[in-house]
Formats: sequence, C-alpha cells, structure tokens
Amino acid sequence: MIINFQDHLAMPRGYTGRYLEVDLTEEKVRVKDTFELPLRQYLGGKGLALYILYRELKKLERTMTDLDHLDPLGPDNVLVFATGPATGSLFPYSGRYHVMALRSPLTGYIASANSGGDFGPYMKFAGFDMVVVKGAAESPVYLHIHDGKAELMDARHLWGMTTFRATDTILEEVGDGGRTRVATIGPAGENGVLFANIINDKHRAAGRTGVGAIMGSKFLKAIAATGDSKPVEPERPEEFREKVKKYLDVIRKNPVTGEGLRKYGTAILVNIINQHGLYPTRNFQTGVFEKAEEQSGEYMAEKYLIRNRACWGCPTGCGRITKVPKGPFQIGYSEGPEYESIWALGADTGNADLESIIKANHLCDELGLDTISTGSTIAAAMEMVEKGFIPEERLEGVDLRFGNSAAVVEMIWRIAYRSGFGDELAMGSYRLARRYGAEHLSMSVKRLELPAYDPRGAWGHALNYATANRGGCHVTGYMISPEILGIPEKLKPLSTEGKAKWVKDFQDFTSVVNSTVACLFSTFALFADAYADMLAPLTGWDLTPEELMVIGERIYNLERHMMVKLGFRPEEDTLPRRFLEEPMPEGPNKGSTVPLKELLREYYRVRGWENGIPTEEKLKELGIIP
Amino acid sequence: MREKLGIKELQLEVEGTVLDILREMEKIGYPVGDLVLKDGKVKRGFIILVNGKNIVHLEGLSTRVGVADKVAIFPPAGGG
Repeated sequence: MIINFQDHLAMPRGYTGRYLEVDLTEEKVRVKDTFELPLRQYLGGKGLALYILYRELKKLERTMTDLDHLDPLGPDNVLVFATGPATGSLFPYSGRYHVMALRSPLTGYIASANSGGDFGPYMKFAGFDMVVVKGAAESPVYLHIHDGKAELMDARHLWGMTTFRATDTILEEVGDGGRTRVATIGPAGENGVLFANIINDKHRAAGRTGVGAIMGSKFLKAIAATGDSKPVEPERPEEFREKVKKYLDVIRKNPVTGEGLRKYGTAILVNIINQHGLYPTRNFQTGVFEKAEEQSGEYMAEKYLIRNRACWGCPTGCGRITKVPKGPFQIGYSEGPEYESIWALGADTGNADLESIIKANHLCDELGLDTISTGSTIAAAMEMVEKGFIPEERLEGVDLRFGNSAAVVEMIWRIAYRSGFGDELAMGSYRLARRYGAEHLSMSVKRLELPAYDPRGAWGHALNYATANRGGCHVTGYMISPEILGIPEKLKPLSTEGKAKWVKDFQDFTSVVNSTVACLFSTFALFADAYADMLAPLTGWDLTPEELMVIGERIYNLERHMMVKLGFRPEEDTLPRRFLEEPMPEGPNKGSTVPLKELLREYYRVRGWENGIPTEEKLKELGIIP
Repeated sequence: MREKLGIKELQLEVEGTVLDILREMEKIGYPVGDLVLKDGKVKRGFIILVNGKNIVHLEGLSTRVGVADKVAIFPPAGGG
C-alpha cells in the first residue's frame, strides 16, 4: 500500500487547523499547526491523538534507557484531549471527544477514554482540534481555551472540590454567558485513584484506564472551553446537508436509534442480558441475577426517570435524568445510571437496591470514579472476603459482602479519599487481588476490569475482551451487537465460526468512529458507507468505506505497536481463569467455557499478527513504519 | 411493549409453536402479533427467546414450546 503522506489539495475542512501544546512544567502554552499532521491517515480523535503520542514515545525511547521507567503518574506521561473533523458539525452523534495518554496507571499500556455531553464540540468552538498536555505543574492549575488562545489559571482554590462544585466555580469565574463547558477531575483523580476518571458537563465521563489520575498527577484540575455553538462548516455544504438528511432518516426509522434507546436508555439491556444468561453476578460467579428486574430499564423508567437527555448534536438522546425522591439514598437530580453502571454497582456486587445504585453512580460522577472499575473492584473484594482471602480486621468494620448496598456506597467515598480499606481498593481489582494471593478473583484483562457481559455467554465478545488494546473493554469491539442484539445480523453466541473476522472488523470500524469522533451508538444504524458518505463532503476528501476501514486498521495496529514498546507480553491477550476453566453454572449458557485458544489463533491470522504482535510486514503495509 | 400491552408477564397453560403462543395471546386480548410480527416474520431487531435461546438459532417461529418453557420477548434495543 502506498501512503500519500500529505494528500491535501487544499486544507481539509472540519479542522480548526490549530492544536494546543501545554507544557505544565514550564507553564507555557504553544499553538501548533494541525495541518502538519497526517490527517488523512489518522483522521482525528483517537487516531490523531495516538499519532501525537507515538511521536512522543519515540522521543522518550531515545532519551530513556528503559521505557519501563515511564511513570504514568510522572511528568513524562503525555495526555491528549482530541476532537475529530466531525466534532461540532452536523454529522449526527458528533458531540464527543477522546482522551488518550502514553501510559495508564491502571493497565500500564495506552490510556484511552471517550466521552459525550457538550465539551468535545466546545473544544473546537474554542478554536482547537486537540489539547496536548505534557509535564506537571508545581501547584494546581486549570486551562481556559477560547478564541484560539489559552491561559493557565490558578486552581489552588479548586483543588479538593468535587466535580460538581469545581465545574460551577469555574463557570462563575470564566464562564461567558452559557458559552463555556468544563471537563474536570474530582477528589479521586487528585488522590491518584488508579481508575479515577475525567468528568465533563458534570455527568459525562471519560471513564476508563485512569485518565483522571494522570490529569491529577499533573496538577491539572480542569479544562474550560469557551466558544459559540456554531456547527463547523463542511467543504461541500449542499452535498453534506443532503447526506446528513438521508442518514438522519435512517436513524429515525431504525428501531434502536429511533425509539428504543431514547425510551429506556442503555438500561434496557439489564433484562435482555439477564434473560440471555450472561448478566455477570457477584463478581462473575454466574450469569443470572435473580433480582435483575428490580434494576432494569423498565423498572427505572417506571419509578425514577424524569426524562431523557441528549448530548450535543445527538438525534437519539439516550441519556437519563433521574431522581430518588426519598429515603437514605435520596437525590434531587442525577443523570444516569447507564447499563454498565447499574450492573457494576448492582448485580456485580449482588446489590438489588436500585436507589443505592443511582446514589452510587451519582457519587462516582461527583468524586470522579469509573463506575465499572469501582463496582468490579468492590465485587472482587467481596468475593475475596467471602472466600477468606481478606482478613476481617482489614475491613475496619465495614461488612463488605455481596448484597450490602450501603457498603457499596460507603466504599465509594473511601476509595475516592483513599481512606481505610478504600486505600487498597483504590489500586484496582488486579493489584488488590494479587496482594491477597487471589489473583484469579480479579475479573480483569490487562488489569482493566471487565464490563457487563459474561464472556461465557458470547464467545466473539470474549475474544474482543481478550484482545482489546486498552484492556478488558466492551466498546473496543462490541460483539454483543451481533451476538445478542442481532445488529447488523444475528450470530450464534456460543460458536467460534467467523468470530475472529467480525471482531477485527468491529475493532477497526470502532477506531474510525473514535477518530471521527462520533458516538458508538450511531453504529446501531450507520456503518462504514454512511461514515464515508458524510465525511467526504465534510472534509473534501474522496473517502470510501474501504479507505476508512484501512484507517481503522492502521489506528488499531499503531496502538498495539505502541503497547509492545510499553512492555506488552503475548500472554496478556487472555481471560481470567474463571472463563476458561469454570463452566457457567446455570442458565441458558450453562456448561459454557470460552474456547479462547482457537479464537485467538484465527484472530491473529486475520490480523496478520504473530502472538499478539503486529508483524513488520503488517506495520509497513499500513505505513506505520517505513 | 409492557406499556402497550399493559402487562409485564403472562402465565399460559398452552403448548405449541411460538407462533401459536403469539396467536393465543391475541385471543385473550394481548395483540403481541401486531407489535412483533410483520408479514408473518419477526420484525427486525425484535428478540424472542425460548429458555434464553434466540429462536433464530432454533426453529424460528416454528420452535415448539411446552408449559414448562419460558418465552421472553424484547423490542429492539441497544446499549454499551
């Protein structure tokens, strides 16, 4: 494959042309030229952030004797906030941004997280395609970007504040008549909790791999972006408008994007996944939760839902606005919980009390914690307590057992402030389990806790879990869509046939989605052809779906290539022993274990990798190495 | 669907194919067929499970169900 390195006839549209480099050690901000970057090869969002990080990694390789010394919570780590060409345009679902860093404090590999709300478009409205953060400040600061300029502001008075209070305070200080949006860390990020997240617009999360801890280690409390909410101009406006109109119609007519997601949100999955027998219960001990109905989307809509809400530019609006009117877990206004959060703070901890789940989710937003890793770490601890791996005294009086909803809520506070046993939970389930000689009880891959689907119930999804670059992740290649939901077509879940190619294609296309940047839920209705159809008149490039899939494959391989440099070992493409050796005890998937060896073999073959590592040939083919 | 039909769960003492069951439900006042079927086939995205297995992988609407079996019907859904 020949790569046209700079394929610009003129400057492609969709980009502002400026990205910001912030050196916190030197307290300097520098405006750089987006058009010097290989935009057509990496698009934007995740892809472009990865390219920037690759450059930084190669620099570090020259100066560091051993990349093992790259401390994820040290000044050499680099953190990137990235938008893509579609962000802030009329491309449907374009209200998102992607966050990446060289090394995650939780996994040790590339940190990667994605979030909705409004903040992404506002970065662009402020004049920037990306913000690259290097070094570390001496005392807390926040960044304000606006009009293509940036200032570092004193954040000492904000340090210690919850995400809600910090957001409100920043808006009071620099907010300009509703034109400002904020992304901030909470106490969890400040305190270096390994799975701390970044919260924007108070209730949206760049959730996983501890990006909040990285931000906290740099003493960067928040980024505020100010600008006018004016959709970005496409290169060929008439054609773009026509295509957008066509696909909005497709979205409207699609039962998931047109109705289902808006009505019940992602919480609709609780009963579906439970009835299919892969709703992980009590730390993945089984796939059926007897009390699933009481935490279902239907139940939530009946009792606690006020209305739905949408991110910037979203035609669906799957967000939830909820309220718990009275009781010990009362909340006046909250957003969510999403399916993953309900599961992690619910069934995974054996918790059947939806009010406590809504409260726990709310606290995770307020304190800046990834709900999946939080719930799953607590669940691992619960199983370890149950099986005698953790002595009672260490719990300091907290009855950390499955089903104790109050304990879940309490431990969230303790984790965020690293107080008591919370200090141990703050390192995540893998390190916690290792400490107590119970490594097999951490349900994680590459130290990232697995999300809400038991791999024994969907083997393609299991393969995705084992091979997802960022670790135990569902959205990297959401095989639940074909295997359970039947979108785009129905595959047999407990079969290996064709799964490897499906996983590769999903992972590659998702990389495109994360680089465009658009919402993954668009893919219930839109595929590579729709993306090409809209990105072409937007940017001015004659993109085809085939080229987009190559771009996706390139991004995925670059990420893997960088992981290898960061110390990735082939045996880490695996699953916890439970899924390979303990047959599912009950339900429709009773008796199932994951035939991972066979799946991996075929996956590496279709990927052109050897033992989980891209071959030199593959890297050359994709233009990653010369 | 619960809203449109007014029920969450129904106990039926019948045997037959899944299609027979849907017809039986219509007979007793729950027009599930209208919601779930189009031209005699299951509408795109709808999920019908018999004991947790999607009928697509069994005998489709001809899958036989007995009094001890559990049928679950879901409208199209998505999530993450």
